[in-house]
Amino acid sequence: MDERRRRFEALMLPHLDAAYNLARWLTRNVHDADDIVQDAYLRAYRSFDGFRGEDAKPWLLAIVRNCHRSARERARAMIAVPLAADDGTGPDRDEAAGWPASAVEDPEAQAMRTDAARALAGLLAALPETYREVLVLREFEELSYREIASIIDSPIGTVMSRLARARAMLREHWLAAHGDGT
Amino acid sequence: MACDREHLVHAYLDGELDTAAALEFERHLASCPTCSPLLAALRQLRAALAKDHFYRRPPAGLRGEVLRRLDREDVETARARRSEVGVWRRLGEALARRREWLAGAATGFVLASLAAALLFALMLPGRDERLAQSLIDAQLRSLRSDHLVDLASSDRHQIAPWMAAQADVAPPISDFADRGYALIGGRIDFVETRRVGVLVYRHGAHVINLFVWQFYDQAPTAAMARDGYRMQVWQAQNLVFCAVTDAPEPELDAFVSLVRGRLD
Ligand SMILES: [Zn+2]
Repeated sequence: MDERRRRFEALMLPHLDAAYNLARWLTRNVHDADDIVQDAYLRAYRSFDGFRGEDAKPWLLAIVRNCHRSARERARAMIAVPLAADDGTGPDRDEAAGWPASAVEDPEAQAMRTDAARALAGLLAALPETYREVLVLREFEELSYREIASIIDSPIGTVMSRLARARAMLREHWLAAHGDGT
Repeated sequence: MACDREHLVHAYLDGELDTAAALEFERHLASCPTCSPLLAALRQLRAALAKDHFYRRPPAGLRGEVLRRLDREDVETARARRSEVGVWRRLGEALARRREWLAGAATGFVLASLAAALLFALMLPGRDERLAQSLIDAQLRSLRSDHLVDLASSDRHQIAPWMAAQADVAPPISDFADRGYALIGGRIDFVETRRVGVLVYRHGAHVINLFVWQFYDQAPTAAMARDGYRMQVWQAQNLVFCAVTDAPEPELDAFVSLVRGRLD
């Protein structure tokens, strides 16, 4: 194994869990998440010469996100023809519409210990992707606003407003479903 | 009731405020009827989002699968590198064998043609050795039959229809003789089963081959130099252009900007 490969593994493999967790929450589907992570590692490996020693985790997660987005574009391109014209509500309209089937089929979600947690997972999975991704990066990866901004390629102000909006939506849905208690 | 510092609740919760700002905000919290219940609610939400329920762990096989993908990539990279080396070595041998046949300006011309064919091979998808070999064979065949240009002409009205008929490619053609780059003719090359057009220019003692083919896949804008030959590739008007020469870099640059200037 050459030095480049060794260095790549040492820097990037420790973030496999984070890469998978993000891919799962983005795709909301076990098989797609596997593919995204494998693609992302391959892409990361190919562009590793462009890695300048910055933080490996946000660098890798940005690639995971890009892989997800291009896979989604490809999927959209294939099914685009029979659908009605764009209704103008943006790329997240289908995801925001309600509980995604994949979140319901998710075996881990089914294994959730409590109904409340399962319900909350469903609500999170149903958030529009732009809000879901910042919340996942913040709550589960505990990344800083700056790191999240670099991953989603947006200003910190955008991270802050999306995070606030994401939490507000989640609380709203949660309260609607479960009242004031837990 | 709204508060103009509501957005700070999130930053405070997320530890994004520096010490001074955090202390100041805590003083505000103590008295604000909007921010303090919001903070409590957000803490409750965070507790409900406890990581052990929501964090998705990768399946056991994923790590191995990733490593296998990297292995395959290593193998392919090594193979591509080997075949490049092999190709260049064989080109060297072929040239050595043919050298005695060549003389004077023709040497530069033939070398440029061979290098062009080879660079061309390296750019094509797959970069495989069989393709490169077929290019070299075609090139050597053409040398044996003294096939430098198929059509010796500086008249673009003569070259254009001929090239369109022969290679199914109709590039804009210009003679830059007044700028020191004289069009001396056109050639058709075969690359695998594909016909490509070549416009041949003379610049002092140097020859420039301008390969042109229909855009059919990725051929990113690129420049490369190798063994004294330089190549520039670009795309315009659904065509891929590839200029190859042994002329110095500034002179290739000047040629390329002349051609591109005529295209744009
Ligand atoms: Zn307040």
